[in-house]
Amino acid sequence: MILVSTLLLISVLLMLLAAALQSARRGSFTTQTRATSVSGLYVAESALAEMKARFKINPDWDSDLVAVKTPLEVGEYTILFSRSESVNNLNGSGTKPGPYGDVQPGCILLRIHTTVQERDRTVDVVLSNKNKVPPSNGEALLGTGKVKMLGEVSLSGVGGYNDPATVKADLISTSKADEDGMISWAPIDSLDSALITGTVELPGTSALALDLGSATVGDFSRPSSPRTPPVVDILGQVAKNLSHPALPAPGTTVPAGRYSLPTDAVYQGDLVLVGGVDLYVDGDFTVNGSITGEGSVYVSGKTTLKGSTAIMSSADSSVALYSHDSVELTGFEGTEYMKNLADNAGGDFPALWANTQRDGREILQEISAPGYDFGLTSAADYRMASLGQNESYGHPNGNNPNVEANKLSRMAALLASQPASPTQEFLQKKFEFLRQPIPGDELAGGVFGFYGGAGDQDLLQNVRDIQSGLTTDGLFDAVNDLLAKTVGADAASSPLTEDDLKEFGGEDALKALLVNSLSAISLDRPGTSYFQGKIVTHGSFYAGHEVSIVGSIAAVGDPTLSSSSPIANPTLTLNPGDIQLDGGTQVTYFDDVVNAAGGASKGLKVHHWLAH
Amino acid sequence: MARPLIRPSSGFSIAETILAVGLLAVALLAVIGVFLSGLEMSRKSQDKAIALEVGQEFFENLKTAGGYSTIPPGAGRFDGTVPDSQVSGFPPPPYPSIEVNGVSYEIIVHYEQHSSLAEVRAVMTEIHWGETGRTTLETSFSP
Repeated sequence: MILVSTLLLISVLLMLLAAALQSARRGSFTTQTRATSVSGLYVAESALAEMKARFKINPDWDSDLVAVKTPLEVGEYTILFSRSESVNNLNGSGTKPGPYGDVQPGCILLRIHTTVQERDRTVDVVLSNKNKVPPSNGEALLGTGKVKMLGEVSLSGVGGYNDPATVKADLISTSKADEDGMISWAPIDSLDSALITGTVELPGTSALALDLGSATVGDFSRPSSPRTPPVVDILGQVAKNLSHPALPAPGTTVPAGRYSLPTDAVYQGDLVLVGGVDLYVDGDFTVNGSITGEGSVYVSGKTTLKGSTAIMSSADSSVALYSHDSVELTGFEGTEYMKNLADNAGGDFPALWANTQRDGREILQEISAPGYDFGLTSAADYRMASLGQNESYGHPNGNNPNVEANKLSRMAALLASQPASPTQEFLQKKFEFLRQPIPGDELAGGVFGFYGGAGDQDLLQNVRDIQSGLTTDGLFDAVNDLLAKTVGADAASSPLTEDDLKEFGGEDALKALLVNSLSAISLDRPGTSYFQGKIVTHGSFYAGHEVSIVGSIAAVGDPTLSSSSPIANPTLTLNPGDIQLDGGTQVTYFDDVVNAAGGASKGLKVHHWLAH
Repeated sequence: MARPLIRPSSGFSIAETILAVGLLAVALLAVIGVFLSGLEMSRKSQDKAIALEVGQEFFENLKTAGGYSTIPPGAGRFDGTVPDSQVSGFPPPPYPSIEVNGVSYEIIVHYEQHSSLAEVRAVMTEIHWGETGRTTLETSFSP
């Protein structure tokens, strides 16, 4: 009897144990499964990041990717393009069949198969171009009306700050009016010139419709049908986004998020958007400063702004401005102001100022030359030292401290003694951007300061910070010295090698960074103000007083809008779709900047994410 | 006199008792052993689940901090060494370690620029706990 009872008791215990063990095993299996599942989701995110980068380079990408390992090889993914798998309809005009039905135009359906530790997971992602604006392709200036340029004008293009490839910057009017002077340029004084590196495109056949005088143009195109301008539903976007919080008061940076202004607004100061901001303004929007950072601004009325004193050496700073009515970018007549200032000051100042501008031109010409050998004691380096430091020794134009040393600081000191005015304050900030001693490290600070720290490791870190857009301090000195020590005139005596350039994309990328940044900064016209990003308006576009636009402009005229006159030029009448560039405007088409414009509303957004 | 229908009980013999107790003891030992093993398995699962949560928290903090723009260019590794050359707040918490339920989870972070896509940066996090516990997660970021 006791044996029977004992055996029964043991049986029950064993059954309980088996149940507990089974539960523990199941829990362990569940945890392991969840671990590989979560890991698979992150691998899918990795695949998505890579695909977004590929689509940015080639929006029509539809090549299969099979068993592609993630960079650190935790997993791999496969993406196949077919009707039952992934479908790219980003640039399509109609629907395309996909695994769940039709894929709409402007959308991409990605089916990502991931494998982590032999466990498979599939994720479906729908991407779309939120703003329905197709990626730009060299359209520096596009208007649906007349395009008129006056004075010194330059339209050029590059792939990106680190991209040595040149991109042609096109000037396009899509008007079929075929009237006289549809696209025109005229000098203001005898020294003015115009350079358009890309194609000037205008439908029609009238020879008088193109009136470009002695402008240098890459090519001409007279298509029978105009190209399709970008379409952005600005009013619609504003109308459905007016419930967001109000914009923070001026004086602070605007953190990532969505904001709205329900009426006409005047923003005093610089509007700095950080980490992706969407702003919707129902009315006219005036910014008595600049708009910089990463974000999109939608305005249902007119937009007026002055430019920024500085640019970032990175496409991470790029603003998309969508204005239903006209856009006016006024800038400041900074270079004219500085010339007058120097002339009135007399003494060494007229020559000092003229030499500052000369050095700016010469540095760019020298380092842009093919086969240029960067060096720690090159002519360009001596020019830089004379601009940013109290040095004229070795200057190629002679060792004359009175007119060749400490140029930027001396001009800044002269400027600081002037009465306050918007232009004076703008230039004050500009000179701080170019050269501002850092307390405790007086030789550093500003684009033309020496790079901070000492030694090669500090040099490498400085260039990392510059390339990632964290700073522009010491830009010239740091990049010049790194190239000199690795592949230039001083490489033989330096412990650094060409391998040290790999993390920066190599010699070409760094040289491009230097050339493109200095070109955009345009030191020979330090009074220039900047706008970095993309502008789309349904009204007219006007830029005057030395504005440098790094990005692109599209004026897609809405015929229901009235013609308008810019505040800076009230005698001028512009119709919707017209573009006028006055007095020394430079448009540098940066592919990276244009296609990165928008911050939170950048080209491709994830609309749906479905994990199987 | 009729025989009684039920024979009176005669009780357990000492041999039966010893045998029963012996069987029970063996069974109990086996049960306890396997039970402890199951407990250990359960604890390890829990630790692993927590490690996974730590890894996810790291990546979500990285996304909140800005994702791509906070990851340094190039390639590198952060292993909790003191002094640690953190770059502008990268890596974000819970790096370099976090303690949960008395267990310390050490975090090692690797980052690397994609070899052919300039605007893709990969980040891998290794979470270590105990003597042999390890889990890894990797993802990539683009602007």
